[in-house]
Formats: sequence, structure tokens, C-alpha cells
Amino acid sequence: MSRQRLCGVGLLLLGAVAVLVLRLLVDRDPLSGDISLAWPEPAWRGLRLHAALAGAALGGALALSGTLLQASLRNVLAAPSLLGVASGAGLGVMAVLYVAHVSGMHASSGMWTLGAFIGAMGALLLVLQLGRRDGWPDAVTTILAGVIVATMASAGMVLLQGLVPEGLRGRFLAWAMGTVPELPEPGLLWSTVALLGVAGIVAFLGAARLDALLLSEDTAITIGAQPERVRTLCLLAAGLLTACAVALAGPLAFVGLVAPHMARRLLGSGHRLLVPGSVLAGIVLVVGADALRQVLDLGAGRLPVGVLTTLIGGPAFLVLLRRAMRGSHAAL
Amino acid sequence: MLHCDQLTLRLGAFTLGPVCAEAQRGAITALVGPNASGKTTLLRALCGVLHGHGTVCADGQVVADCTAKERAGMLAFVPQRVQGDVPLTVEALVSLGRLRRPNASERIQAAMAALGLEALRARPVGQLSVGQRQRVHIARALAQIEPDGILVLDEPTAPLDPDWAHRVWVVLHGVAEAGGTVLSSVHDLAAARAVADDAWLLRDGLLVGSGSATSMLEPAGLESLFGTAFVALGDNALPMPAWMDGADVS
Repeated sequence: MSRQRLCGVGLLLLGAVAVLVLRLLVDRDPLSGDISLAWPEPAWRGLRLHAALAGAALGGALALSGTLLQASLRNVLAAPSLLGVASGAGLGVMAVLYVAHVSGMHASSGMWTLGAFIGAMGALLLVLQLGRRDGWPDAVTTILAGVIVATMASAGMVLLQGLVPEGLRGRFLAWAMGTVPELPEPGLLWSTVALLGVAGIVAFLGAARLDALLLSEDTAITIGAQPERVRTLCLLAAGLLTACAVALAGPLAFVGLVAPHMARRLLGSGHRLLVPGSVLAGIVLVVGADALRQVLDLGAGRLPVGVLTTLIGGPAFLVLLRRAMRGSHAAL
Repeated sequence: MLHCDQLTLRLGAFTLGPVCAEAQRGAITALVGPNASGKTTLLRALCGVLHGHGTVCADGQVVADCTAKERAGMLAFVPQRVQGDVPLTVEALVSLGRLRRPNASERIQAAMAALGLEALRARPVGQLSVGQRQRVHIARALAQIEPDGILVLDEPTAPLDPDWAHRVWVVLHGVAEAGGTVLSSVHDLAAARAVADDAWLLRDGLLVGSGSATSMLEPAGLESLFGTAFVALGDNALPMPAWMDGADVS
């Protein structure tokens, strides 16, 4: 490993540890507005630990999902939020909650995740079908189809919000903006952590196969990479990771786009480093944004973390789109 | 040895075959034919990228019955249009030739050396010229196979300058001399005549001739294949389109 790559790994590792520690220590007095850095009182310790862990799990899950989508679709603009996967998952969760509300049932975390997975995969399959050009998902057409599907899914979420009683609507709205939970559902949190661990290890061990997806289909087939099988596994894993992250925290935009690009800048495009690097970058982004929002109050309370990730990710997406339109994928 | 028997394939309105042919071990076989005659389709079918009817055997094994790993160990393919915007380094891409093979860094280094890529090893492939990228993919294919393996190439020298085209033919000749099988589509008929041992002539998806390069690549046969007159040039009787002999394109 070159010195530059080694520095990149160290930087991301250090960044991830730093934001996790910061999330545990940072606090803001709601009355005086004073910001303090101190080990939390026992009453708050559990909440902050859970928030840090949830932020790390969903940041890592969204980042890995974006990395797998970008490799499998050979599209540097692919990300769960831009392909409608996150919004589809959100609509799935909303639909489960609405059905549970109407039928008077309790929606378990398993049902949340199942609803999110069905929504995520439904949206992804629809976008891939709409974005197809000469048998292959065209980079820009796929993103356009993803934006349309995401908008439709968001409209569906707003529609469902209007159909539930006032009390439940507030919870729907907070979740739909993207919030790192301080009291996450244990089943959801640990299933996200477990899935991230398994998918991360499998992707790391199969990094060369992911590299092979960057080659032409003929080359990938004849070197024995079995691209169709790898691509199917990647899309399934990306759908599951996004589903878990969305069920846990709502549809957080742009993390799955920005984190892989951050890692790529520091570590190059080889997946042996890119996979763990993206996960670390996702942790830096989400936990860092969550720590930042603890000290930001513009008069209406703390900002939802989804607003911060969108403010960071939106301009980054525009820069990447401009580069992709110029056909400079190789430089990314 | 690469052998196909009654190979038939339908691709949209185009039908390939039935084709029965054999590329010999220890020889370079040139696949020659006009545009849209099915050369690329035939090469892709022989490598197992496209699936048709009939049998394709590589060194005695039916390609369709092989696992992806077994097939990658037997034959390597260099497609006509190599992926240009690959964000991997030269060395990483050449190493992908060993994806399903035991790691053999000496084969990777030797392949890069043969194609003059040592100085470019850390460069992203996307930043290279078209000719350099082609050399990277030929090196990847060389690293993939054993010295006596099967190498299938689709117009490998088309983007190369005359010097590198010559060097690539020297490398391919070395593979054949080591007992390997080389099958390559070629549009440069003089080069095909100069370097190939055997030739297959393809027209409208059908094999219209196969045999030694000297007997196949002569003016009369080529005229009937391409529909344009050819002349023999020099002591080696290299075929050249007649219009180039004192060409006037005004």
C-alpha cells in the first residue's frame, strides 16, 4: 500500500473515531445555549451511546449501499437516494405503519424492515427498467428515472401522512426528515449492525470481483468474474442495507453518494480499500452531522440530521454530475 | 486447441453459422472477413460470452460445460472495444487476469514487461491513450492464461501504431511457439499473411474457407471474399487492395 493510501486510511479511521467521541461528549444547554464537551451524566450516557452506534450503523450501511450500487451499475452517480431506493424504502415503511394503524396492529421492527425492503427493491427495479438504454442502465437516464421515482415515493409518503391522525403525523414527519434515533428499536439497530458487518466482510473479501464489474461485460465474463451473479448480489445487498438504514432513521439523502466519493479521493477506486473506506466515510458524515446538529439551533430546535446531509451532499452531487456529463468518470 | 462444431447463433436479424472450424495449438489463426460478417460474434461465442447451438471445445473440454473458473483458466479474450474509463491502475487491471487463477505475480510482471507497461503500472487506465489501454488489456489476457493457453483477440492491433502492432504480433507469436493457441480477427491482411499460420474466412456468418494463411490469403480468394480486387506485393506476396496500388481517390 502506498504512503498516500496509508495516510488516507489513517485519516478516515481517525475521523470516524473523532466524530464518535465528539457525539458522546458534545452538549448544548437549551436555555443558555452554552456548548460543552464533557463525559455525559449516567442518565444521558445510554442515549448518546445508542445515538452514536445508530449513526455509525446507518452511515456505514448507506455508504456501503452506495458503493455497491456504483460498482454494480458502473455509474459514479448511483446512490440509494438518487435511485429512489431510499424513498421507496420510506414509502414501504409508511405503508406498513399506515396498514398497522388502520388494522389496529402493532408494527414490529421486522415489519418495518420488510416494508422498507419491498419498497427499496420495487423502486430499484422500476428505476433500472426505466433507465435502460440498449439493454444497459444508462448513467444519466437512470438518475433521471431515480429522481422521478423518488419524487413519486415522497408524494406517496406525504399522502399517507395526511391519512393518519394528528399524533402519529408528527412522528411520521420527524422520521421522514431523517433523524438519528437516541432510543433506536433494538431489533432494528442490531440487525443493521449485523447486516453491515456481514455485507462489509463479503464485499471486502470479494473486492476483486467488484473491481471486475468496472470492466466491459465481455472481459468480466471471460476472466471468470460472473458479473451477473455479482451484480444481483450487490443490488440485493444494497436494497437490504438501505432498507435497514431507512427503517432505523428515515431516508437520509446523499450519504450513499458522498461517502464513496470521499473514500475514492483518498484511497483510489480499488474496492479492497474502497469498501472499508466508504463505511468509515459514511460514519464520519452521519455521526459528524448528528454531532453538529446538537449544537445548531436556528430558533426552532435542533435541525434534523437529514437536512445537514442534504446541504452537504446536494452541492457535491452537482459537482459530480457536471464531471460525469463531461465524461471524466476516470478522474473520479 | 479451439474447436467448434456446427456452431449456430442468432443475434437479432443476424445468423451465424453453422460454423465448423479448428484453431490449432502452436499456431496463430487469423479470422478474416468483411464488416458485419460475424467475426466478433463468432469470437464471443467461442469464448462462451454468447451462447449458441453446437459445440465449442477448448483443449478437449466442452466450453459450455465448464465453470466460470475453469473457463477463465483455459482461455482469455481481448474484446474489440476495451472499456476506456476504468478507474483502476494499470497493475490492478492486469492483475484481474488472475482473478480466478492462483496468484502469480511473475506472470503479471512478465505480461506488463512484454507490453511495455512497467513505467505506467501506477497510472489509472482511464488516463491512458487508446493504444496504451489496448496494450493493458492484452497484458491482462496474457497474465490470465498459462503459457500454452488459448488467446482469443478481436482486432488487437487496430488502435496500435506500427511499432507496437509489430511488438504485439511478436508476443502472440511467442505464445504460439510456447504451445498456445492464438485466434485473432484481423483487418490488416498484409499483417495477417505475414504473421498467421492459418486463416479462417468468414462471410455473412458462414465460414467460406479455412486452411494455411498462404493459401487462404491470396488475391483471388480475398477478391471473392471482399468483392474488391487485390494484388500481391513483394517477395512474400502480401495481399494489398488493388486500389492502393497507385491509388487515386480524387
